[in-house]
Amino acid sequence: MAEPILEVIDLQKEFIGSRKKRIRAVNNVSFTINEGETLGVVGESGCGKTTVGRTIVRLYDADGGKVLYRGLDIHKADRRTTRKLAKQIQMVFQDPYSSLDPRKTVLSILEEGLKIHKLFRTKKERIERVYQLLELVGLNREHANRFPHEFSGGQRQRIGIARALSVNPELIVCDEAISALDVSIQAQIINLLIDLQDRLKLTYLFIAHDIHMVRYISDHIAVMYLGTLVEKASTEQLFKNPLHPYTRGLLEAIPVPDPKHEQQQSTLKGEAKPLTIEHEGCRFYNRCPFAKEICRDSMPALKAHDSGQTVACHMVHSENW
Amino acid sequence: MSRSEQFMIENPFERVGATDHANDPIVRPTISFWSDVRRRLIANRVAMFGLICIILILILAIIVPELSSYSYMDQNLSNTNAAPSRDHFFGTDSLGRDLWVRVWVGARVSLAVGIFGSIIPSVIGIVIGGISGYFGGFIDTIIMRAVDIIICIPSMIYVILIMLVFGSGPIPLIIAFALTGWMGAARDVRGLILQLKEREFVLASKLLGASHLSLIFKHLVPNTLGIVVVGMTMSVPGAIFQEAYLSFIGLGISPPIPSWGQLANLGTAVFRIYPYQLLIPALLISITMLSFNLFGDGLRDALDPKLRS
Amino acid sequence: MKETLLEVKQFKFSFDTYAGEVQAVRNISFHVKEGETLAIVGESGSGKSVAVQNVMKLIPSPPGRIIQGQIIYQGEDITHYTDRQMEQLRGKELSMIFQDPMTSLNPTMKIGDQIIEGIRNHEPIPRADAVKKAIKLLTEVGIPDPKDSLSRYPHTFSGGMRQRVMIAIALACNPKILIADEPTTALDVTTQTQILELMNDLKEKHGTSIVMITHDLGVVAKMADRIAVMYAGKIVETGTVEEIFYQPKHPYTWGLLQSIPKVSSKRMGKLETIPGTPPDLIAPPKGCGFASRCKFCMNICKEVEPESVSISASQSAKCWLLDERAPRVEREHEEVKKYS
Repeated sequence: MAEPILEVIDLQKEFIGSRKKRIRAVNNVSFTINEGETLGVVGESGCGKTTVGRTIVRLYDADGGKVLYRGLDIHKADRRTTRKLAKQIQMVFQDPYSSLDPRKTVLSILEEGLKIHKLFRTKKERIERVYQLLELVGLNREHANRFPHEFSGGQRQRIGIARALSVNPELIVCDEAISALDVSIQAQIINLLIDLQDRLKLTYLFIAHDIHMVRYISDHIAVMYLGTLVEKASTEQLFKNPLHPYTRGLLEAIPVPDPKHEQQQSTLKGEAKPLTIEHEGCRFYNRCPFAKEICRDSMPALKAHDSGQTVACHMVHSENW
Repeated sequence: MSRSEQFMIENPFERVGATDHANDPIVRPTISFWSDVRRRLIANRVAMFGLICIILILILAIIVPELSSYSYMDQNLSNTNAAPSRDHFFGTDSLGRDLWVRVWVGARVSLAVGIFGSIIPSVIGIVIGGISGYFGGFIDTIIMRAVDIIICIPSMIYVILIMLVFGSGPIPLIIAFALTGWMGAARDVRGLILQLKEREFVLASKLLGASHLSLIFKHLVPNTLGIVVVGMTMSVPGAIFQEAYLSFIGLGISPPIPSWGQLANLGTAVFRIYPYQLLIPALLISITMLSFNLFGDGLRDALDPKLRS
Repeated sequence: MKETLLEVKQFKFSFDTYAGEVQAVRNISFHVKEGETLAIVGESGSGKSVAVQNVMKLIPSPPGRIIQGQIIYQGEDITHYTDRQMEQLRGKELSMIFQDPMTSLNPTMKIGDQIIEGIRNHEPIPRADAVKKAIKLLTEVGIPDPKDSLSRYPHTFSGGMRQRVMIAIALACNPKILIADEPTTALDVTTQTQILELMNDLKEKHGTSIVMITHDLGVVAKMADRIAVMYAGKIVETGTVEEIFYQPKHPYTWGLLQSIPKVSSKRMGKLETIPGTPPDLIAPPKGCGFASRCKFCMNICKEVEPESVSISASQSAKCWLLDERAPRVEREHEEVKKYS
């Protein structure tokens, strides 16, 4: 059994929305990632998946709960440990256009982490390492003196991955790292990430809204809806037997690339609207085709189901499901 | 391409497969941000006209006083208020001083005050605005409220007070401009930094462990420089004009050191008889201000990312 | 036989940039018939948006420049129409919806006023009638409380609702062709399904032709009657939806179909990809644009551009593999068979 590398326990994060309403972006989210594995986090916009990712890399502070990296609470770490953690947890960003400084060459972008952590003594060694990084992600050393705007989206994302790898991290949070790319390029990046994982023994937290792309890279998948985790399962289990009505809706909604496929009318009506902190019931209540009274009044807890996955739904756990 | 040409190819239908993509050549030439700006600036004729005028004035200001046989304070009471001639291109003033030399010595003073009087406050503004925007929260509130208050008080009041304390001359003038001119730049930079600091490349550097100082001055400020440089260029004419105005009303630069404002001041006294004594410095002030404005406009267009293609 | 509404013939379009001429669209031809949905599929930079934005004359010149070709709408050559002439067509004959509805709605105007303005630009009817029509339109596109919605501002709507409003505005004057440029890319999946269903319903009801620009083959399968696959500024393959999905002939189409994750695939692990990146159209390759990324590339592909080869009345592709002298290449059919 692999060691857990990251444990997120009851994580909470609030934002102040319009008219000073408190919006709970992340609500008691808990999960574990084992070393060398990939956890995919899926959900639609506004579900809090990006906030979870950013809290784990310490761009945000948590308003409640803990994030343990190898047993160490990352939000309570002292300065020196924080510096060390920066080397261990890295992030790949969504937008390949805004994630690279337009004024800097690829070399100086990739060199930055090496300089900050004083990983090499001489400039020559650093440049050698940058060349090595470029080749690792499928670019070549001639690209080092180019500026970001000269590259295509896919190539820029490779540079972003190289930057994350420059400090030899163990855990990489991929925040919608493929969403802004073309389909054929998405597949390239996924393959690159899988390849790097095998070679460098990386652990990924892979955040995305496209559940089908996530499945190729993830060992486990967590589905989020409006700040809560609604279902958590191994990838195989989730696709074989999705339990939560939202997961099912999500899977059904994806258009199948086959003209003869008879798609059902979408079961999910309406759209997700952010809820204030006062909301008590299940967050999916107003869109759920199975909702009953209990769903309006109390929030279902994430519980293990007989089939092996954990799911937060009153109906799934009730007798007559 | 004609069909017959295909027979020039050896084994046209032999399968060779895909190319190795790590070596994809990039077709476009490497071009850094600033060289791109330069290219577009050069393509802008009006801006280049402004720049050429500025350079011409600078060159004249540097060499004329060195090469001329007169100095700016040599009086020749036997040849006062002479009309422009071969000996004195711009004539002489009421003390018989050569106006050609005085105008270009004055240019040194006016341009120095104009240029340093806008660079120094801009630099102060960048630092204060950068810190304010980056840290946000309490520090930001304090700094920005202070700016609001300082900006309310007419800057002329400070300038006059400072001139009274430090005396008149180019250095006190620049100090006065520095103390009164940084607020605009600080506001601009702060606004830009507030936008930029959420950009992913800044977050990425933060995650790599970059310190606050390096985030502000290596990543954020360089990305605001374009706009700040435009602001700086556009504020040069303002500073030149302010100097001229202060000298004209007797503050600012005091005799015998000439400045354009000074010369214009002296010129007004004899304007009805010898109009060129006022018109020449006035014209130079106008040309310089116009040139800086044209150049600044061009610079702004060259830096505008929306026009990039 | 249905009438051809729009025809684009041998169209070439370039952008002039500092580094030279970027040949965004390199000689494409396509047509749209009455009541059908044509999907133009391709990656970013393939020229698919440029192609249709030209039909609407939305690209300023300079930097854009028509090199050659014609755009014919209902028998009339509109290639060089002036802005004023285009105003008569836009909204009334041809309408367009965009990827991001927020940028195409005026944020300071109530949506009711925006719809009414659209109606009255083309039909001189009293305001009261226009209001009635606006309410009808909003009901049709599934906006709850259409009457109250008239006095709301765009930012109070969610992304999906905004796109519905955009569709209402686009359909206000019963255009014959609706051009949809990545209409659902910015939306969540569950919302996307709703919008696509809405577009299909409206097409059935009004007989509007749709030109759909997208990179999502799932969306294409759900919407399109015919497909044009664009790559590096050219249409490399065109055909009916069945032909493209079940008997594709161009290796790029194969690659596209393979790189989408399969819903029912049991095999996990690596995805099929198309290696490399599309060519920079500032210096388009001499031969086939796809040659450098093509597994089946032959010597000739790099040198000579392939001609379009007809496979059936509706399908054609540009590829040297279709030449009789080329070696037979069997596409790995595994993926597609699953569906059929």
